Amino acid sequence: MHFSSSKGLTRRNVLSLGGAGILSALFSQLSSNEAAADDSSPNPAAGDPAAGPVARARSCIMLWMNGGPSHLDTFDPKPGSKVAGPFKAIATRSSGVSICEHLPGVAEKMNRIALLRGVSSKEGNHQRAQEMGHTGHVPNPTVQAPSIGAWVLKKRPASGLEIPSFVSLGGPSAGGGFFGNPFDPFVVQRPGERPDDLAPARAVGPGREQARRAFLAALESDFASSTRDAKVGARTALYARARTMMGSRSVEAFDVMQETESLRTKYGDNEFGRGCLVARRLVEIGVPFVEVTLDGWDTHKDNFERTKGRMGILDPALASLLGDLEERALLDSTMVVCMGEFGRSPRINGNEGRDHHPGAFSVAMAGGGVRGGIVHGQTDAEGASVVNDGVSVPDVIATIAQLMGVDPRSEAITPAGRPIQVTQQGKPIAAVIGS
Amino acid sequence: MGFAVALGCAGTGSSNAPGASSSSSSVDGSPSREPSQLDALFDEAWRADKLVASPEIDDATYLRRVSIDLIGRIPSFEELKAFEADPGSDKRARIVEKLLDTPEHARHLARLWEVTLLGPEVKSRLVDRGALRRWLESKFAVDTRWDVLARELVTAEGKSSVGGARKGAYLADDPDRAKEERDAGVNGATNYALRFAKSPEDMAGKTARAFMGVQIQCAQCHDHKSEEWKQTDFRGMAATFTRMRFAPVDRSQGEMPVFEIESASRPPRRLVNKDETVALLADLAPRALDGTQLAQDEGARRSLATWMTSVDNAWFSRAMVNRVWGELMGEGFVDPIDDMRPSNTPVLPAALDLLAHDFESHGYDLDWLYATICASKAYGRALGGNGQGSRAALFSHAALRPMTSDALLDSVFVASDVTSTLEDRAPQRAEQIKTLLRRKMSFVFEDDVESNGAAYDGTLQQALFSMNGALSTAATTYREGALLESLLEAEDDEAIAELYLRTLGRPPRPEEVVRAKALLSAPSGPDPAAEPGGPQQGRKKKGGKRPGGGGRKAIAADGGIPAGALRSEANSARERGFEDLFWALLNSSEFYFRR
Repeated sequence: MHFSSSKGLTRRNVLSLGGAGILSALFSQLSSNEAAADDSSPNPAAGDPAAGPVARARSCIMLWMNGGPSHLDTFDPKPGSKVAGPFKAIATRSSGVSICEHLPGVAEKMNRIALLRGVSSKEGNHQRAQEMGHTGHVPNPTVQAPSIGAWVLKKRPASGLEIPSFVSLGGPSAGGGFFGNPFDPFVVQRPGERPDDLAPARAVGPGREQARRAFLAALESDFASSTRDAKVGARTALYARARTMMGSRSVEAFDVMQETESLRTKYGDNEFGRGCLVARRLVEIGVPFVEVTLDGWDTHKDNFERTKGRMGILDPALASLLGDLEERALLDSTMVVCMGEFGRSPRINGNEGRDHHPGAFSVAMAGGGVRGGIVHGQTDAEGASVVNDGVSVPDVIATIAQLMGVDPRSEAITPAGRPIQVTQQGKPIAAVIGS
Repeated sequence: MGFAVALGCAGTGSSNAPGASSSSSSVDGSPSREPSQLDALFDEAWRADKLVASPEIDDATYLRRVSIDLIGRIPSFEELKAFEADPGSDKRARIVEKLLDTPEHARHLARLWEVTLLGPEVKSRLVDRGALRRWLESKFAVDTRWDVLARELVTAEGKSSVGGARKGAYLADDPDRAKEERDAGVNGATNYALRFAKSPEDMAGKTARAFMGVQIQCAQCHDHKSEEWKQTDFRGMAATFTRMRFAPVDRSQGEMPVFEIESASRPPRRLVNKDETVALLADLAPRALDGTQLAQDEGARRSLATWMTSVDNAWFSRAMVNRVWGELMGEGFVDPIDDMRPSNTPVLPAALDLLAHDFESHGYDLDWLYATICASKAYGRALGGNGQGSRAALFSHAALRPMTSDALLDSVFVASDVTSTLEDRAPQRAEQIKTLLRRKMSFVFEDDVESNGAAYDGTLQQALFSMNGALSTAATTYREGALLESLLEAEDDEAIAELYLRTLGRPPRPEEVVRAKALLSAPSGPDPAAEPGGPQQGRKKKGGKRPGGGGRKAIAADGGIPAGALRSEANSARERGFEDLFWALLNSSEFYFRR
């Protein structure tokens, strides 16, 4: 099923769009001059959109659980075991599958979620595991692998978009690696608000604005012709894109105040909740890759209280996001991935905490061609190791790539002359790919 | 193993022969005016390839180049005037010598090496980056020879930090903290090892890459696919870095931790038990990359450092020469800059060999190296080649390249004299604001360490920051105490010329003066709402501080610049026109690129 650009404009969701702004923005993009998008890739060999697997998803929202959430206390509970801790497990909409009692909203949505319980890696160090979780490559000092968001930006840039195609809400995400700065995410430090620097710090009247831009244009033109260096033109083009963004209605997508108070409350009045709501608004206007970060999962101390607190933020946000996307008929074309860099130890340490545990952890995926209501992979009785259908982090990233229409076997040449693929030998997980 | 053999080094020659610099100047290290052997090599190479070299740059361009390259900022208006007025024919050599002697140069090198050694981002929670930077700065400030510095880094022992609040630790230009560190006996250099505390292989890989220009990490897992290094060679070197201990001294929650780094005959048992690679390496005999046996125990690092920096290890001088050449020229003889494997051939190998040999014979004197390159014919070439990289044309022309984010920040400060605007009420605050801005700018302008500068690598956030950010506004505002106020006391012609000199480092052309004057008389009403923080900012604050109108206590969300510094007192078309002119010059590519 190819994504069709008319998706999202059915009568039902036209009415439910938050304000006319989004709608008019969408229309203006469909008819706008698409030339502005062409210089998004300075690499003349940017991917040919016609090649590669059929995209099931137009957009991917990656919910990054920074610090390594305890799988035993979230998605892979072991009730009755000696490692279980104080939380109970509750039944979900996915028959036979239980998750932690503190994720009730997500439990209601399990019929749309594919739960991977058999993910494992060898990286127990935060920085390395975070890098791998974003790039699908084991970190290596010789090459800065691009993150999956950067690959999507390179191979499937959205045309006609007046705002960036790769956005990180809460930051920092991972960047373009050796693809370079232009493939880094646009980072919004305070999700829910418009990004910084979209308007002059002190307003200039329209006449002045016009005059100073014209003067700058003359400076640029002179410098470009005297140096005959394409870099000058590239910089001028970037400024033009920045101006387009400044004047674009699409910028309203970053602003949660455009949504009703009840919806904002439903997602949660916190940075992550707002970030998820902004993510929905961004994919609505066609942004292909959005990441929202929730930090604080690194619970070496006081694991249960703190994880419960995190779930109190994650649950309403994720459940609302899935429900909202579904209601707007966007879930079929939007992948949502909820993952962290590793799991946490079955053994509870002396500080009521759990320590890093890359040997087994969970990832939840939904939408965008993902088969809902299934569990793939199983850990042993204490959640220490994977006993069935294990998958690697590169496999997860390859699955995202595949569903986003980026061939996981696509290659790029590193500055040292070595070819690398989208992931390090990752294979898309067939079990989660719906028909 | 054929390390030295594979290089095919140029013959050593006698120390009396004219070298990269003329022989008569080799004592004090400053180059003289006579054509050097280095220049002759380039002339010959250009002739042989039928390359027409660009003309030599003029004095103003030269000053701008060496300022950016040696002290990380453009020259100030006063510095430009002084240089122009200097009648001496050796003024270029003298200005280079002067710049090399400044604390700014030491700070500039310290910043470069902090990033080279620790990477661009704060990736480790253990490392006190500021302490390493201050250590580096102190070494560069007293002209420490490169081999000495490298040895001290590789063998560093001692306390890593004074600890305390994390935030304070990174204010690297903080002299109080520097004193605290001295009093507490902190050895900032230990933070290099601390960065790789649990991974001796990464330490070996980074050390080889930073100091020898070789990337051996591929041999971490298998014999290198295209080069001769074997897994055993790499592991022998990695074994050296297991002969250390990192003892925690203070790990207070939420604060900068303090470690004691010391050499040891074995790594701690806990690490050996946890990590099978470390266990394997702990049992291996430390060896240099060419197989030379090293001391087996606590002395392992020292003997590695001695081997690495000896004249018998040609990689050491070649790596640094290539790196500094690349810093100053935009590209190295070898590309990538730190991938000098035998099959990656340099352009102009004879020039690389000559500089490397002379660097050694001058005792690895960095001032000599920088001065020699800055005096070379190749360095002084004007832009050319239609933007093609200069390396491909054997450096017969220069190419545009961007300044680093630090340099950009410092250049905006120098051009606009905005410090005085910020120092309004609190002089110390200007430094703090600069630090906050530096952090914001390095976040927004994250330097692309992988890039070879061949393409323009800007991002939307950089463009937005340059156009609309509080720094640009504060820098170009007409208000009491700001630069524009005094500048506008002069006639238009003089004021316009000064703005061009301050920003672009050159006087305006006649047609540019005409265009500027048109801007000054363009009809423009007063600005819409005069209050900063009003609705036209398009910014809604959720919690946190709201930008106040006073400018004394209220801090805008933007790099800490007080709102008061953003308010304009321009009352006429002329005053507003000059704000616009200044804004355009600071946003121009001619300002942004190093030409």
